[in-house]
Amino acid sequence: MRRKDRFLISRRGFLKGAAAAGAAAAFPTIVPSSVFGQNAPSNRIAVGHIGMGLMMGSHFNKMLRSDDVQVVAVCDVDRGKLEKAKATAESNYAKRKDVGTYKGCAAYHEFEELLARDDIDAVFIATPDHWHAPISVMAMRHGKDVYVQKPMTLTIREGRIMSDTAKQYGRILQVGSQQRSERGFRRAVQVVRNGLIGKVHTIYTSLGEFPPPQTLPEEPIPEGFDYDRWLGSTPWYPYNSMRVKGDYGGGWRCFWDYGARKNGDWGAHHFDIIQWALNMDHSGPVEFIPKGYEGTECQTHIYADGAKVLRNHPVKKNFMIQFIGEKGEVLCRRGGLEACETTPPELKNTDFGPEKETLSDVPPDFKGVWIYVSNQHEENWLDCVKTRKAPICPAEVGHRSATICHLNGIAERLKRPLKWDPVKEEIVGDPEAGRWMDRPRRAPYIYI
Amino acid sequence: MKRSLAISALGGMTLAAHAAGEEQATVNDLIPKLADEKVENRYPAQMALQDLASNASKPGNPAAREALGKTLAAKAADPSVPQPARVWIVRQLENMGGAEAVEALTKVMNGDDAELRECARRALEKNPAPAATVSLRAALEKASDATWKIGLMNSLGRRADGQSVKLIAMGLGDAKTAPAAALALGNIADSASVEALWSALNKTPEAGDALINAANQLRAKGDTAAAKAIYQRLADQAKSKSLRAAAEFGLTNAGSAKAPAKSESKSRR
Repeated sequence: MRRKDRFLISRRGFLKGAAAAGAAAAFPTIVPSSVFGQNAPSNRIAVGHIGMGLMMGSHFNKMLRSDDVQVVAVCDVDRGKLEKAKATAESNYAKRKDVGTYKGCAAYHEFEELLARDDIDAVFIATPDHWHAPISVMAMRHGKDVYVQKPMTLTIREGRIMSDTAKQYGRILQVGSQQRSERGFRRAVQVVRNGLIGKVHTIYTSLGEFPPPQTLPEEPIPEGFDYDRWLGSTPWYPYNSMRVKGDYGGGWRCFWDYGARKNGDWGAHHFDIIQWALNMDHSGPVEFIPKGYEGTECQTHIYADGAKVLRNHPVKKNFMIQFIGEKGEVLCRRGGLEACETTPPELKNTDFGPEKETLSDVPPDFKGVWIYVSNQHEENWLDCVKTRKAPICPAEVGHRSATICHLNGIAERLKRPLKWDPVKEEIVGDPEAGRWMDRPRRAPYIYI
Repeated sequence: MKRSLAISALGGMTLAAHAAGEEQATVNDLIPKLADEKVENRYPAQMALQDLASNASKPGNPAAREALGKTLAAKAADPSVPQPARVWIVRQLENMGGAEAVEALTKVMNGDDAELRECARRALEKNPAPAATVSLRAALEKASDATWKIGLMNSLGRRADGQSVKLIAMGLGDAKTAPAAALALGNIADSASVEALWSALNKTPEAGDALINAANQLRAKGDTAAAKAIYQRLADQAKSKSLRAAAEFGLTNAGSAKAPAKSESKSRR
């Protein structure tokens, strides 16, 4: 049986079979050291983790605790982070075994070596943004499924390549826009998509601000840190710790070379939810206006039907997104159902039908708009790796959301509005702005 | 009426010349700040120049863009301008330089400063003028360093330069440059580059993915027959399951079912 075919058996079927076998045979008195949880290591999804910094922490811990996953490899350009990750994986599995010490986690400096392994089924990618696309594309071409952090890309061209590659190579790619797996946001989307607040005309969202990207003095490169590889295809700058620091309040996130600043960092979350609510997952806005342009108070992007999204306009009650429609409003933030409020209040408690994960499970008499249900983002991805169904935030969706981040960023840098054709995926009438659809790459880190 | 229009035109030219003069003065003023000994002090000047370049490249005023392009190009190629300033200037030319900047950028790309050479390569890669391709190709002909060759091959691939195929294909014979050469040839996607990729298929793993890319591009341009031929051959011959799956996907989307392999045909008789 091919490795992937094992995952087409449902967990319930697997467990049923295991129980039946147990009834007929005596249990061994010594549990083999290679078996723990419900799945032997050989039945689990073999996962590699690339980029062991700030964002990888929670993914790594979840995968180490998962019975569906065997973490077999880690990769980072920082030797200290790499060694720590390897040690964490090994001690985790050692604690979970009856005897012996698990030594199954390899540590790689170069992701190319990790991806060349045929025994790895899937990878988590939580590097800075500029590495997301090259590693994801290579992983998919090597037959791996991918979970990649948001925003999915550094450039718009990268996103098209990633989405097309996922489709062509038959890979399951989940973008880490985990708000799609949170009930508060899902409820808001259900309200909007089912027309309960009427046509949405205005959306406020709060992203915050980063400090400006400063020009930094050179510092010595720390021992064990491969700065050249960290930079990858981006332009060379002298090393400074603030340039590479993983920090929710700044660090590399401040610099245009590695991402779209706040538009990418938080825009990838909130613009994504807005896309979902407006049913624009395969399209996007048509106009982008930077803050300050001819007195514009808030950065704005506008959809073809006139709906406007205003960044950093105050949102009621400090929620994260406020949808304003002709017949009402809905507010949402992270959390459960309490993280969604509607005007009128009773809209939120509308029966949207059973929370079924696939459209085929929804009763035929359900008249509303069904919204994909995922209650845990990594679990959704693992489930889709096994069943090969589309995850809640696949590559095309991630690409369209990231495109909004990038276009807002380009408008911000050029200090002028942009017009966008979401069908042709072109910037209209501004060839210099069009140069920003992709960036030249620094050798030898050229993969796409 | 005609006389007043002539005067207006004269006035307009004078205004443009005046604006260009002001820009020159601004750039001259910024140069020492761009090279301030205290690195942190350079940022405001960098942003000022960036804004100048963005403003000049607004749609609808190509003369303004060209004028600033000329000013910046002259400074970029001037060895008396401090290096940090030249680096930042070339970075602006990457975003807005045109034909007027090619000669200067070529000079910088062929110079001694490694950082400036790389900046100039990137700027030429993005330059819309055909002369930029000529410069990049000439640089690849002379290049000996593998990393430098990789960058140049990529630039030429992104520009889809058919005249570079033979030159780039030579890179398939070196393990260091082969992946980049394959990538570039896949982007060019003409018959010569496809032929070169087939010859490398068993030696360079990236050649297969590059063929998929080439086929996709051919299909997008309407050359479905050429695309299908590549997909079919890969579906039949590729050792990697992943590549065969990608090829079969291509065949399906190109509007034909996969032709059965010979062994399957035999079993049906």
